[in-house]
Amino acid sequence: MPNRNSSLHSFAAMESNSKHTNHKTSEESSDNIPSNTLLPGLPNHLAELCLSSVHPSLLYKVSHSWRRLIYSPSFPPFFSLYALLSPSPSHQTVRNHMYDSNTNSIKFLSLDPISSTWQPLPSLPPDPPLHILHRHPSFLSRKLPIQTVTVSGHLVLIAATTHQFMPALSRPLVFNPIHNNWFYGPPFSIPRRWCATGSVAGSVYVASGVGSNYSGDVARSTERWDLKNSLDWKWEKKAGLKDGRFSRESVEAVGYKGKLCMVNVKGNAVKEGAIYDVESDQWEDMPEGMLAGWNGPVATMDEMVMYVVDEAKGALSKYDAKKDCWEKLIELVQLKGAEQMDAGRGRVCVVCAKGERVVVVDVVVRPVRLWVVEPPPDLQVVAVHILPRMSQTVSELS
Amino acid sequence: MALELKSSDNKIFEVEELVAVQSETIKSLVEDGCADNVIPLPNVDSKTLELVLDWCKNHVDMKLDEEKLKEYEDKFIEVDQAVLYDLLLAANYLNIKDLLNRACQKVADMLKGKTPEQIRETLNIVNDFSPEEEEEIRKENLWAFEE
Repeated sequence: MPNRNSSLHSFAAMESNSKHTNHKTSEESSDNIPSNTLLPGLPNHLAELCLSSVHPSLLYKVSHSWRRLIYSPSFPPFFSLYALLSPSPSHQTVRNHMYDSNTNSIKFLSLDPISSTWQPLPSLPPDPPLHILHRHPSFLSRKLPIQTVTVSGHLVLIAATTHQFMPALSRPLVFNPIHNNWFYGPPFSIPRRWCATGSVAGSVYVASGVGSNYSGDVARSTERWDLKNSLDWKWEKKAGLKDGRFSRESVEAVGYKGKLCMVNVKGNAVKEGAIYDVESDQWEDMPEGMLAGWNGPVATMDEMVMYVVDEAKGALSKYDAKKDCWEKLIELVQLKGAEQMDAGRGRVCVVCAKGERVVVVDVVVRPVRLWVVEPPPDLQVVAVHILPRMSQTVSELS
Repeated sequence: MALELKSSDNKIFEVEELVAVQSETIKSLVEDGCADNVIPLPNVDSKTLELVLDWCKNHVDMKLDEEKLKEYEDKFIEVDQAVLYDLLLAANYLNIKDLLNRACQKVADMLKGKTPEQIRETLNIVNDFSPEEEEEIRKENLWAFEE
């Protein structure tokens, strides 16, 4: 993650005379100042240093050059909401095209909260072509899982199903917002249609689940991809689960204080929990209190604070590790039917109402504040992730 | 051991080496053996150089007293914008990291709590938004993630 302070060390350049004489602003008319000057009287690299600690939502409102600055790759990025979306089932053309295996109705968009606009991510790499089925035309109410994970500021697509009901991905597909590009990770030992997946401490984990067919070995397996080891990306085998009870559904695992936590059934049903300890490479039971309150989607903020939304009650709660219980922050009718969530940078973002809205909760202030975000027309949100905004070049900004 | 520094307006400043090497630029010259004669600093005028050297001297004197140093820094940086920019440029040219950081921070502090229009006025920035864009900006600021 880019660190503001690191940019200061690179600016040790000697001043040239011409830049110094620009400084006498009172004698200059504004006609003489080039339009990309950030602060009249200072060279741009010093102006950037000054502006880097001001909130981008303020910089956005001052001038076009200040606006371009907050999107440039060299400027510390603000955060955006990334969403995986699919066409609303009521949308007529969906029924016509749903079974067309050549179209991908899945879309990746990012909501820039500074400009309040939805922007598409760059197109997926054409080779190999990716075909994902989200809804089968004969079973419209049942959604096939599409699993995404964030790790170290990247968005990773891990598992999905093709129109032939086979695993859609033989390698994870990764998006880097700062470089604005997609690339493939190391090949899975067994591609899966769904699995238990999550990230902790800079590594992505894939466990259990189902490949092209059910297999006991796959249902008990655990693998890790450590992104920090950039010279040698690979999936390493880790301690397996004792049985296949986590293979029935797609499972969203969360990283929390050096461990990966998960439950095997979504929502309010009776379920079992499991925790993988990274350091000891062992699976252990989930504390009772944590399991008892895990009644909907869960997300962690910086892997240090855990939140849950009880899908039936619409209650957002925070986990108290010392007492092994959940402390309720707020209960709202808008949060009912919560399906998926992410937490980061002081906000908890929850997908509700079958993907027709995202509720953004500011958990820094008390009482908590919230906003409701709607997806673009005719699209439903499948999942949300909080990541640095995409960099943009000047030509891309209108 | 004393060094001689010459400002852009030809004023000579005699400074202890320990004070002058707070500037990485001057430190390099000393280490390369180029500091025996007067060191010309054509990009810094005498008024600014005097302030910068005061900063450097106090950072040597108060090195062990954090509280006193912070009090000094806060008072030092309470200058008008023209002087602040001069200090920023000099700190960059002379490569004095703590002065550069403090001056940049001060510029940022000047902006906080101000409206975009106030910022433009303070810093002499042209408003290049169209009326439609201005209207968009005037709308209630939606949520954003913490920085």
